[in-house]
This record gives sequence, structure tokens and C-alpha cells, in this order.
Amino acid sequence: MELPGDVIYGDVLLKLSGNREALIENYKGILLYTPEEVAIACKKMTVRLYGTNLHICYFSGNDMKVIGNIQQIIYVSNGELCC
Amino acid sequence: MLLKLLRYIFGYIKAEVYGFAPERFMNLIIKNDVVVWDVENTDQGYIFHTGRKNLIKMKPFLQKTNMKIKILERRGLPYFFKYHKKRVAFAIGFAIAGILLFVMSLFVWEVKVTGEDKLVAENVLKQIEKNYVALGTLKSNVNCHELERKLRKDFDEISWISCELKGTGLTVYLEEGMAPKKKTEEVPGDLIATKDAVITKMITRQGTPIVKVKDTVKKGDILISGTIYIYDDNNEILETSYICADGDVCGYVTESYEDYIELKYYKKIYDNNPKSYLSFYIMDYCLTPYIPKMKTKDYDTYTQIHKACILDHFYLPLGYKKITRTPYQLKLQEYSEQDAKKILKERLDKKLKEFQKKGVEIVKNDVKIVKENGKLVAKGTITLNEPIAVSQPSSAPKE
Repeated sequence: MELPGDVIYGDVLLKLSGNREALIENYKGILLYTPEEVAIACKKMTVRLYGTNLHICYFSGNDMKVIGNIQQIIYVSNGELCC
Repeated sequence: MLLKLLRYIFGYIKAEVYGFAPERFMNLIIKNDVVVWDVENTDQGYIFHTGRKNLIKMKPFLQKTNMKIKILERRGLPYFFKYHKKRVAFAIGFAIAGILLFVMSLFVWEVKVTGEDKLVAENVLKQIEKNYVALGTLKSNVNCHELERKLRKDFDEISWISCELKGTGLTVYLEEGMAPKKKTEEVPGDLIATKDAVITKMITRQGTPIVKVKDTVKKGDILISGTIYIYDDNNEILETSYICADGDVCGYVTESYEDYIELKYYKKIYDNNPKSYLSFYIMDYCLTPYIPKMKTKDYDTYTQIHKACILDHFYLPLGYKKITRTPYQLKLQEYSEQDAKKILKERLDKKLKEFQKKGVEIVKNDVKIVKENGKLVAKGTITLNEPIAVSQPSSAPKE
């Protein structure tokens, strides 16, 4: 039986619409939020979105939406990040 | 859109959090099912929008993270009501006005009749208001088709009619035709003279002519008899039959005419500053806040009624009257004989024109104007050539 990765491993789900919009699910919290950088803590790693005019449209316990001009997405393993 | 509406109904706030660890605070609140939107970042923390009730949920986290919150804006219906708490009376008044307006819209408050002939239109209007749709009748009780049928029955001269109920007004569109001549039943009858006259023309269509041209007849004389005698060879009456006499009979008729004018008369000299005031009315009740005092007892009153009307057809049983009072002074004046003569002549001409309009020929005009006891009198006779015959049922036995 094949189960989705987010259920077994607790993967973060990222849904991108071009470079304008990112819908993030299965995350733990925000680490940093500036117009140039948004750092989102997930179970196993941290997702860092770099760009300009970044803005959190909404966020709740399940998902969040970031809009703006996204230029770079970096995954950082939790072991390497200290926040 | 729906989401925005829901947020507005339940109320939301725009708040700024600042302090030591804004990210931690944000993470904590979202873990506790607090939804935030439109998050902006500032130098010290964040600005975000959240639901009204979430404020209470946030309180323990604020203390825990040692953060401060500043509410920037409050939006939505709950805040709106709170803000306008003191204006409850206004809202109630508004609601009552709405209800009253609705109730008023259930009745007919204006009846209009359009027609070329003002007289017929006025009569129709009177008939409607008196017998069928009085002002203030429930609209649901007005049946336009039924009303049309009844009016057509009442007024023969109506050739086309249409009733329309629009807003609170009932409009009746009329088209007048000639009133159809009532068919007189063919009852045996004679044609008799309506006036004393000298016959000038006689055309007999049916019946036995009794008089001839140039005869002098008196009022009530039989002109054409409806009795026909059929003679046999011996010139004896064989049979008598009674028919309805028909024909045209014209004759010279002398009409007396008298008119006078007093040479001395009172003339109204109006004051230059008329005073006007307003009076408000609701149905039959009137309220006049201020009536200006008049210096003299003599004044003319001119009232203009303005009915309240919303848009084009929503008439209401209220409005205002603008009353203008123009004071005047009576001054004794005297006509010059020439002026008086002119006036009398004008009246006579009007009378003559009326005759001509009816198709009556004026043969002779003997009216003379003389001065008598301080008045100018026009006196004399007018000789007319007009139809004088009218049908009268005879007392003859029916066959």
C-alpha cells in the first residue's frame, strides 16, 4: 500500500503558482517574516522563500499563503538551522 | 466575496503586535486555531487581521511571549451596532417609516383621467371617485377590467378606455367619440313646434304635412302629423295608419335679448406684496404652522396643492399647500359710455357666435344699446332661422 509522503514522513506540501504565489501546507510555524524572506519551519526541514514584496495573505493551523515575487526557495535541514 | 461578507458580519480587527518574539507569538496562536490574514511586517512585529473573538484567545499567549498588542481598527457589524447604540431611536424611526411607506403603497391615492374633452374627463373622474374607487381604496380591491366595463356602460361618449394601476396612482386613459344617437323606438308620433315661428323650410320624410312654408305656427302646434289617411276612389277614408313622423322644419324664431352693465362698479386694486404661507396636510388633517396677519379684511386667496410623490407614480396622501393671500382695496370706478358699450357688444357677439356654432342662421339683429338709470342696457330681439321640430308621441292607439 502506498501512502502519501506527507502522511508517512510529515513532508511539507508546497504548491506554487508561477513565482507569484506559494501555498504551504503541513508546516509547524513561522521562523522569520520580512518582505525579502519568509522562513517556515516544517517537521523535518525549514523552507526559506526569498524574493521581494513577500506578503502573507493568510495563515491558519493547516496552511498559509505567501504572495509576492518569489525568486528562490531553499530547503534547509533542521539540523543545520538554529532558531 | 462570501468570506469578506462573513468576516464583516461577525466583526474583525486589525491589530499590531510588537515585542520580543513576534514569530513565536504567531506560531502559538495559529496552533490554537486562530486564523489571521493580511499579515504585514513592521520593524518591531507584525500587523494582521483576525476575528473579533480571537482577541480573547490571544490573551494568554501575549502574556507568555511578553508581547504587546495594539488594536488599530475595528470593523464589522458588531462594532457598527456598538458605535451607533445611542441612535436606536433613529433606526426605529427608519423602520417605522419603511413600514408606513409599505402600508401606504397598498392603497390608491391618486386618480387621474386623461382625455381630450376636459368636461367628460372631469365627469369620469367624479364618477370614479364617488362610486367606484374612492381615494384610499385598497389596491387589491381595484379591478381594472371591471372598472373599464362599468365606465363604458356609464358614459356613452367613451369610444376607448384603459385603466392602469401604477404605483399608488390609478390612471384612466380616455378617447372620446361622438355619443351614439339613441335609437328612438319607432313609436307613432307627430312633429311639433318648439317655439313660435314662421316656417321657412319644410322637408317631409314621413307623415302628413299640416303646415306649409310662410305659415305662422305657435309653440306646440303640430307641423307634420304621424297619421296617414288612405283614401279610396270615392275620396273617402279607407284606412288610417299611424307612423312616426319625420322631417326637417326650419323657421324664423324671434329671441329676445337683454343685458345690462352698471356704469359704476367696484374695482379691486391689489396690493403689491402678497403674503404666502405653507400648510401641511395628511389625509384630511391640516397643520398650518404660521398664518401671516392681514392688515385688511379683503383679500383673494390662491391655494396650490403639492401632493407628495415618490418617483413618478408613488403618490402619498400627504403633501403641502402653498396659500397666497393678495390683499386688495375696493375702489368705486365708472365706465365711460364707450367702454361699457364695447363690453356689451362683446357679450352680444359671443352670444351670436354661439348660435352660429350650433349652425343656426342669424337673420336679423335688432339689439340696441340705451342708457337707463345709471346703467347701460342692451335690449332687443334677434331673429334666427333654426330647426323647430321635435317629435312627440301621439296618443293614437298602437296597432
